[in-house]
Amino acid sequence: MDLPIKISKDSREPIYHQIVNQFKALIAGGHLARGTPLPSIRALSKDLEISIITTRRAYQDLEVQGFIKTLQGKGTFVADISEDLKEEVKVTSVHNILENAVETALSYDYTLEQVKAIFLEILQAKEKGDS
Amino acid sequence: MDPLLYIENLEKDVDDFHLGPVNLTIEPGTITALIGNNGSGKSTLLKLIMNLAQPEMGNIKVNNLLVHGNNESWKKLIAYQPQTIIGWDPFTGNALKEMIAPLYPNWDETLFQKMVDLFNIPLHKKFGKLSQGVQQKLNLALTIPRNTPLLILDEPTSYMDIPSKKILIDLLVDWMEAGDRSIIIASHQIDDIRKLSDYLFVLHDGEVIGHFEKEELMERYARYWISEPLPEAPIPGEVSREGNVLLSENPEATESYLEANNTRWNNRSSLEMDDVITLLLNTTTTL
Amino acid sequence: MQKDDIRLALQLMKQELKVSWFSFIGLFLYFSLFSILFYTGFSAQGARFVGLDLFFIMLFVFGPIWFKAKGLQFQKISSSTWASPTVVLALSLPIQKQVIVIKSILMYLLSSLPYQLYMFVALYLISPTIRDMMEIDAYISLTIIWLSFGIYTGLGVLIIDIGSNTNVSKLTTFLSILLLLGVILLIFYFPFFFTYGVVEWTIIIANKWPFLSAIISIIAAVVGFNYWKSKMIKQFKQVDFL
Repeated sequence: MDLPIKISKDSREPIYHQIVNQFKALIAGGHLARGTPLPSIRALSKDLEISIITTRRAYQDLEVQGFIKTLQGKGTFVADISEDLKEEVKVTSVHNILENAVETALSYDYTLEQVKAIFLEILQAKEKGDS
Repeated sequence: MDPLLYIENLEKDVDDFHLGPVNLTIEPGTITALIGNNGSGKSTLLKLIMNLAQPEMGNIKVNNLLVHGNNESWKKLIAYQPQTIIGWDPFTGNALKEMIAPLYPNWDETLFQKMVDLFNIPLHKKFGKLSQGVQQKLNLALTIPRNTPLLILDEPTSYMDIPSKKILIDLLVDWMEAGDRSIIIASHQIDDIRKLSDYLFVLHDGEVIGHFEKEELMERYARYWISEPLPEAPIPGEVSREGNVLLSENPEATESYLEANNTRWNNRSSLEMDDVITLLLNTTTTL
Repeated sequence: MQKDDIRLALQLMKQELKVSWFSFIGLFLYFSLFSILFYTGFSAQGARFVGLDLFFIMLFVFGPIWFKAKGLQFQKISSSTWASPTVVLALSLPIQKQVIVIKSILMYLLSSLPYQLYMFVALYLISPTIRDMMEIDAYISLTIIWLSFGIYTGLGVLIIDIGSNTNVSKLTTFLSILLLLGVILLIFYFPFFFTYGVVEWTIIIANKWPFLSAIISIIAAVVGFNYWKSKMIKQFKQVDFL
């Protein structure tokens, strides 16, 4: 199965963390429905070109947090998660993405005022596009 | 759990070449890529594991049995594909299968047939009459279905075409699903290393450079695009610099130095696997 | 030797035999040719066998390993290792070393004993000179002497199949050549020192003590067989198949 998971090896965020967050977003966003079978640790490791040590850690994290469950001998599946948890994930992931964007801007020597201006510009463009 | 393969203080002299000391443990369920320059001793190490040569020093244990002991039952636990296969030339694929399959209790006939179909291998031709690429395919088809706990492949795909190499990677990923199996693969194919390996065991001219977990190794190096001029003196972790691009083998030390000196960088990237291997095998190279 | 070992050895031999039919025909022609040579020589010299000893002995010591199929023949397998490719093939598989040795020996016996026996039977049938000179029991004894000789010396040569590394010193090479040359000269000059040649002496012994010489030869063959078998198993430890 092809999953829209892309890891960035340049990011300072640990790889297993990237996998966990992207899975959470896919599950919370409804792209991966409850009961959907997930690729095996070995198969995902091959697709993402990482070691099973990293993949296994990500799956363990996801399992502990209740996003996936492993059935002995059958494989790993998307778990049934509450609406509250879904909401929480959505908020966190939007928050993270915006935070990353700000970090990037700062690394290009933008001031916070400038970042704010860009952000408002994008929002205004969106509003216009919608109306 | 006992390690599947345990190598301790292994040393071997071949003329003026010296291998070792090698210490290596292989756990079930893992794939280890054996990396090294030509003549680094990869094949020698694998042959020592197969007890095809006598070490000067050290021990090798497979499932807790010494490979040079009198009990040779460990051989049932390893399927070994040598780089140059000797003794197969006069036999056809069918004859070889008749010879090899009964020796392994877990022989997977279905997988064998599948590989013969996928790779389009003629089984009625003598091995010696096949092209090198087809020889490697037949060799793999007669090695992987042995379904032993440990699979040792010595540069298995060097003559194979690109689609076949991809097929093999998928076959090996499938093969690993059984759980407790392990693979040691000596390879110069960057795809084998990227897509298959969990660990890299690196040799250079007979010396062990290290045994790394793949991501750990990748995280050891980083490249920085520095926006301000750098001091003349080497920076902690610095491997090389070219203009405003700094290569570090200790990103943590480099970054804390840069931060302490208020030097900013506007980009940081990790290295490609082949660059990392080049650095490991040849420390004088600049990238 | 255990039953299982022999069964596995035979199982491995099966494929080798399939690709060896050509060499078995070759062996048949080869021994036929020598039978004619020995018959002619024997008749021409008036029941003497001078000058033919070397051929006779060589046939029993080296004969069987000359006619192996190309891919099975003892050869250089890497820059410093010589061995029989089938031995190397078996070593990478879960086959006990003694099974590999038993297989090599069985293969050797199969390509020597039947042909040697054939030569003796043929010589007795075609040569009135031999029939006049020896009773059937003495001739059977002579056959046993030489077939046994083929076992206890031939298996000693077979050890090269197991393998060797070519890093032997020049002195060793020189001494080996010297020794071989000595043996050849000894065989050649045997009749001059001891009145009769090596083959003639075995005829005399077989005529005089047919039973005793046969028994001693069989014992020597059994002892030789076991000695070389364990020596071959030990030889594996001396060789690096690199």
